[in-house]
This record gives sequence, C-alpha cells and structure tokens, in this order.
Amino acid sequence: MVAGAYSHSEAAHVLIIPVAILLLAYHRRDALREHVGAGSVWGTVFVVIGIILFSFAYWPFNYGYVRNLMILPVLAGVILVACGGSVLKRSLPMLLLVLLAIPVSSRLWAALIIRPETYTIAVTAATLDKLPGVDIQIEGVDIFYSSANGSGCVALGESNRGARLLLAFLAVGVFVVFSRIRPMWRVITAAVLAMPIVLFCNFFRLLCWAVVVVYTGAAPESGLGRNVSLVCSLFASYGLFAIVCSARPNLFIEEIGTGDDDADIADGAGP
Amino acid sequence: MSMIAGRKMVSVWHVTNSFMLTAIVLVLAAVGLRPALEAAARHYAKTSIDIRQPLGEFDISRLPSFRDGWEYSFAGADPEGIGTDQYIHVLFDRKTSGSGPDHLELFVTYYSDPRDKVPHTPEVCSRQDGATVQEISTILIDNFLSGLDNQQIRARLLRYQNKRSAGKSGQRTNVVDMYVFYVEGRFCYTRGQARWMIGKPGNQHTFFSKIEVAASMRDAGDRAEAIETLKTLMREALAILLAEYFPSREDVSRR
Repeated sequence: MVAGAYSHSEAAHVLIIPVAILLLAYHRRDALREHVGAGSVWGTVFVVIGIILFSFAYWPFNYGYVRNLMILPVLAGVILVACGGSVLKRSLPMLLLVLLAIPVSSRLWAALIIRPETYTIAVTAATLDKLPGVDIQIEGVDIFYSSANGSGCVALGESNRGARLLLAFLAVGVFVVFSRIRPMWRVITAAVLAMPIVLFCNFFRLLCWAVVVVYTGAAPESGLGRNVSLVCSLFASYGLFAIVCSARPNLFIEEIGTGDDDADIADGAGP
Repeated sequence: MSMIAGRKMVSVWHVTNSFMLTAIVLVLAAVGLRPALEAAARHYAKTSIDIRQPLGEFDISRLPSFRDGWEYSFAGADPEGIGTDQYIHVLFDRKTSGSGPDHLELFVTYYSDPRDKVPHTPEVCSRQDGATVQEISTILIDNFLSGLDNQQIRARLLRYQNKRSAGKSGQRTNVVDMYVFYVEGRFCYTRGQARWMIGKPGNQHTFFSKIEVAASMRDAGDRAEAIETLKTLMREALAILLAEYFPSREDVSRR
C-alpha cells in the first residue's frame, strides 16, 4: 500500500491514514481503556473467516483486492479476542480508515467509476458552459474548452485518475466525524450525506481545475491546476463534513415562559 | 498484563483459550498458508487448450443474414494490445441505404493461456477512446439453433456516443454495442463472472473468448432496429463459433 501511495499521487492519503488512526485512538484512549473486557471466542471465528476468504482469493480465485480486504476481519478478530466487543465497537472508525486505505484495483475501479464519473464530467461541462465566452465539448472522459484566451483540455485524463480521490475525501470525512465521540444520529446523518458530499467534492475539484486552466491558460497537465484544485477540494470536503457534524438544527422552538413553571403548564405552555 | 485505573493496578487481560487459539491460528497462517496455497495452485493449475480452427479462417459469407446487402472487410488489431493473436475483427457496411444501422462490427478474441487476463470491456475502453457511455444494461438473445442449454443467453448491452458528442457544434455518432464472454463452455456477460468461472476449479483446461458486435448510427432513434440486427449477427456468429471453433465443455473438463 505504501509503495502504491508513493507511485500514485491519488493514493497519497494512504500515507496519512496511520497517523489519523493513531490520533483517533488517542482521542478515544479513555473510552477504550474503560471498556477493555474479557475477549470473545467470536474473535477467533473472525480471524479464521478472514484467513479462509484470503485463501480463496489467492487460490483457486485470484482477487487481489479481496485478499487485501481480508486484513479487516483479521484485525477485528484480534481486537475482539483480546479486548472484547465493546472495544471493537469503539474501534470501528479506525477499521473504516483501514478499509479506505486499501487501494481498489485499477480494473475494478475503472468499471465502478463509470457512472459517477460520467455525471461529474457532464455537470462540470454544463457549469463551465455557463461561463461567458467559453465553449465546452466533452470527449470521452475529457473536457475541452475554447475561449478568447485559447483552447485545449481542462484536465487531460484527470477526471478518471482524480476520481480515485473519492476515497481520500471519504477518509477526511471519517476522520472529521469520528474525531470526537458524537451522538449516533449525527453519525448516521453524516453517513447518509457522505456520498453526496464526496461526489460534490470531486465535481468541485474538476471545476476548480477547469477554471484555473481556462482563465490562466495553464497547461492541463501542469501542477498549478492540479494542486490548487486538490487543496480546494480537500478543504471543501473537510468543511462540509465539519458543517454536518456541528450544525445544530433548531427542531424545537423555545418558548419564553413567565418563570413560573406551574403557571406555564396550567396555561398550556408546557415546560 | 495489567493496566492502571486511577492508582489501583487492575488486571484485565488474561490469556484465555480463545486468545491462545487465535495466536496459534495466526502463526500457522503466517508460516504455512502461502506455501500451501502455492502448492495447491501448482497442482491444480489448468492448462491451455487450442482453438479448433484459427479465428482468422472464419468465413463471413456463412452468416446467412449478412451474405447479401452488406460489404465486409477485415480490420486489424494489435495483438499486444488485445493480449492474443487469435482474433477476428470484421467491419460490415450496408450496400444500399435503408433503415437501421449502416455500419456493423464483429470482434471475437480467444484466450487460453492460464496467465491471460480478462480484457477491459467496451464500457471502459470506449471512454478512453473519447466515447460517452449513455446506457449499460443487459439483453436476452434467444432462438439459438444449437449448442446451448436453454437456447438463450444474456448479453451486455451498451449505448454510447462516439467522439466529440457534446457542445454546440458536436458531431454525433451513436453506437449500440453488445458483448458476451464464453468461458470454458459457458456464457457470461461481465468480467467478474468470467474471472469467477476461470478461477473455479474442476476443469483440466481453460479458455475464454469475448464476442462483441456493435452498430454505428447517425440517429439514436434507430436503436431498436440496431439491437435486432446485432442480435441476429451475434446469433449467427455464435452458431458457427460454437459448432466449429471453440472447444466444447467436455473438451475442457477432460482429465
């Protein structure tokens, strides 16, 4: 995984995942310590299942991604057998980060990403087309522009490679959501909104890149557009997940009472 | 082991039977799993099986519905790019203008090296060539004359626009594409299914083939007619391929 992160910039978030896991564990150290209990025999079952599935993904079948995934049941099993179910439950965010650090094989990803990527490119092109004096054309996975400043591709091939950043956006989201111990309803809300946020961030990344290229005339493969769009989209991901985690919806309207509870109740105002 | 809870040392970890068992399982797996799996893979490895006739000898004039009214020509393909030198790539052009597609394509590849990888499918490749995928679904092709259990197969159906399709002055070419995999004597329509069938132990030999037909149209409204034409082409090509070219299910299972 580390070698892959060095060779593919879109998997670079893998390098930061161990730090994120350690930080989450540090934040939860008291909760984890308090709940250490007797191990469960189910941990052994998890480990055995992980090893069996790993074996099948090695022979007779050959699924590299499934083999890599099998570290998860083994890790979960080790936690379960050593510390018990309560600690495993509190370790799930860290396991989720491990899951997001496992790179999806390129052929599998190429097939999975077709629909979201097609929509992202279409929406980005439609948005760019609204800019004054800019004409946009889609060719496969690339967006081409022509304007008074010139013409060219806004991010050659990057809509495809960059789509791998979806996992990085998701990892940012997991870290933000679980950096504090939050009520379950907030975690569920974040989980429901996670995919739209991630897809929006990918759209935002491509849009930023396109705007930089169109208005500065930078080469599509230059570092300027890529870096600016990457930083902007990661901040957007962080910000959106932070908003989801901190927003306080006012579902109940506080009524100003007289201070006399009995009188308020008698008047039908309620507490 | 112990931990500190306030000032009091509380022993919370003790070596249980399940802990010991898990440790033993992990050590055994670390030491012996990979060599054991490699030995099993070597022992049960499938071997290649030759195609009965080279695909290059495929006689297009034997396709009854395309014998008249169509001109055909053989197109090349880069054997390194497609991963095999056993292929046939035929382009059909309608001789007279009429309803339905004007251009058809038949592309069949055959792989039998156990190390061969299942190639990318058109929904992935076409996008790299500048196409915009509009539909990915499946379709039933029936009325086969012979060679099938149920006389019908399910194929992948794609619809995409080729080249510069969007924009204010874009030129549109609508393509309908249909493909199936034939793996060790059985049909499937996804790479995942093909890989599963190749991995499944039991057969002595292995082979797989991708059979793809495509129709190009100027107007997307001709889609239904294009699908019917492609079904006919697929049906007629497969009847010959199954009967005379591909090894049978018995051939691959023979030990």
